[in-house]
Amino acid sequence: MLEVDGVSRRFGETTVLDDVTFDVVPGRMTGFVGANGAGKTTTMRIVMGVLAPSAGDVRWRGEPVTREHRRTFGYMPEERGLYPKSPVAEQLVYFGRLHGMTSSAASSRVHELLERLSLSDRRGDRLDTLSLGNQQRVQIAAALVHAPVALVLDEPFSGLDPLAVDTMAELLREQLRLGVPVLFSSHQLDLVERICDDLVILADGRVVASGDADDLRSSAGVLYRLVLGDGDDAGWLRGLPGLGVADVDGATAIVDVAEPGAEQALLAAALARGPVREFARVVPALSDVFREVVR
Amino acid sequence: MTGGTSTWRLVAAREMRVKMRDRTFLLSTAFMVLVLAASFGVSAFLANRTSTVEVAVAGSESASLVVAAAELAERDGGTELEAVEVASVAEAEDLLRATDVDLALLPAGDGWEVVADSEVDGGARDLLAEAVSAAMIAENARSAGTTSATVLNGADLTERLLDADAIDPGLRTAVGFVFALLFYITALTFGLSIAQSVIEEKQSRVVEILAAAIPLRGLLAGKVIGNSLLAIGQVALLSLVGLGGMAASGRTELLAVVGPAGLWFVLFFVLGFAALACLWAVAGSVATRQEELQATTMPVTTVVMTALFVGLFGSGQVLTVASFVPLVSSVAMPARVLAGDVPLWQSIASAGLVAVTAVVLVRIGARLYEGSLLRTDRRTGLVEALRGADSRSEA
Repeated sequence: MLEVDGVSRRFGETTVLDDVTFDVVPGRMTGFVGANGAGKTTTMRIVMGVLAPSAGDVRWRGEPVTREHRRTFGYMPEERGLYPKSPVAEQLVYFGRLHGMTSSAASSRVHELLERLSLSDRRGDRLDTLSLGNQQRVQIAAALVHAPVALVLDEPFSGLDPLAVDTMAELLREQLRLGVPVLFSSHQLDLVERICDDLVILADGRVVASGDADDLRSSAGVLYRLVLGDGDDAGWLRGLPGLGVADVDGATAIVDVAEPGAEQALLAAALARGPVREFARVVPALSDVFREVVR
Repeated sequence: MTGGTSTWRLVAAREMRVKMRDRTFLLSTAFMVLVLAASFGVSAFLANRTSTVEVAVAGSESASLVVAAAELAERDGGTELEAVEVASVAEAEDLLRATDVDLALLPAGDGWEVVADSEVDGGARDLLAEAVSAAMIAENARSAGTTSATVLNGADLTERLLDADAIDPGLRTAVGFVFALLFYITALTFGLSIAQSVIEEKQSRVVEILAAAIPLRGLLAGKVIGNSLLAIGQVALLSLVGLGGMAASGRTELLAVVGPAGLWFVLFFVLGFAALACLWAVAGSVATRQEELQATTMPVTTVVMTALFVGLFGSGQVLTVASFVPLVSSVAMPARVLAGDVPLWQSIASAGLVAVTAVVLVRIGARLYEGSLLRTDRRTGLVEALRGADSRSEA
């Protein structure tokens, strides 16, 4: 497990991170979300040792993380970094070797990765002759080349087309199955919602919510959506006990169930008034959760 | 897992691989080798060239004088004389005007005259004068009932040099010039290549991946060592071509001249380059884009230029002082050694000074490099870079 514990970072007088604490659990995909400037990149740079924290520490399997540990992590920085003028396979082998692989192990791993990423025919080409999407694939290969024990990926999906997103997600799931903890940041909340197991939401340098993604969404409240017959106005349900009305729009209402069971009384009352076209539990979208906690 | 110690080797190997593939680098190296080889070829050609001077002669007496002069010429080498028989003075002058012959040796009054169209070949004239003089002395001696040997008794003039090993000053200047230029070109080429390699990693942001994987010092060491090895390799290659050229063109006397100074040059070159190498890396790391390199490398470039000019134009007291100023001494000290008036302790002391400077500059350089490498937003100031070195823990 990768633990971030009480990490703070100040630049001069400005506090960029304030007591940030969360865990990245092996085999689980942890999505790291937050508005621009919330401190996601700074946190990841501290995890990777590119930046030192002003306070707090990062632990790997219970020990303070060292360079030797980090050498076994895979990292994709926010601003992509590869050698534009070097051949694709050659630089990947170089990264593998810098991470401690032997020359032959690095070569065969690079071969395999490029095959997976459908880049085998470009292995000898200079990086800057590749399209941006393909460069992005090489970038993920650079993070995976040394079979990392943990992955820290800053916006790994940005700039990818939907198909490439799927390939990338599949690659990452494969890593999860190997028991690798994956931390990735993204501002594409729909994407995060789709593939994350855990969530860490950062606002102004503080963790405002973290934990299991489903739990977080449920915690936003138990919502039900009720659609009455045509022409009916749902305004009457405002007076019902144990319910909060989140939204009413003509025959449609979204209610927040404060007391369990109140939704049954609501349904009975509605049926007593006339036809009910729809009655269903609404799971809030991540974006709703996000807006809620960040507000 | 390989240990942390080999990180610099991987980096150095990559630096060298990339450079060895760089067309500009390969072409410029090949060009320098060619120019050097050609310069030996040309000088060998000039040294071995024999010119034949054709001399028009009218009559057997002048013909035998030219033959005698030709024998003298054989003794000296370089110039050959050949007699061309003509019937008259007029014909000789015609041939001269038509440049079919170079000179004419004609009787004039009591003696002889050398005639040319517009210019007399000095070497040939001296030979002819010597032959004429010898023949006339012999003839006059015979008339006086004696021999040339008697007449010339006591007229020998021999040469004796107090310092037979002293180097021809022209040659000394030339070799000093070559040393200075070699230092300048190599230090600048490979120094800039270090700075460029640093800024390339910084500008392409690849440095963040590297920083997460390896200590920055390993990265710096690899760059400096890789490029230094290439620089030394290039100097060695050029030296070999130079030595080979001297041997091939039979100028082995040069070896004795250049040899000791050359060894000092290599030592001072290595020390001087090592001292500057980290500063080149700093010049790269404080910039954010290639375009800023010209400004950030200026201080280092200035040091190299100063070394060049002092080495080229310094003399006397100035050169002596310069030969103790670290970095400038890389050119000045070998120049003094060439002149041959440097006590050994002075060379050693100066080398020691550069070595100490190298250690200090490498340390400061490494700190500045670490402090500025990961700042990608704007150019880093020196104080900021020194402070920045603390912001990243070296686990």
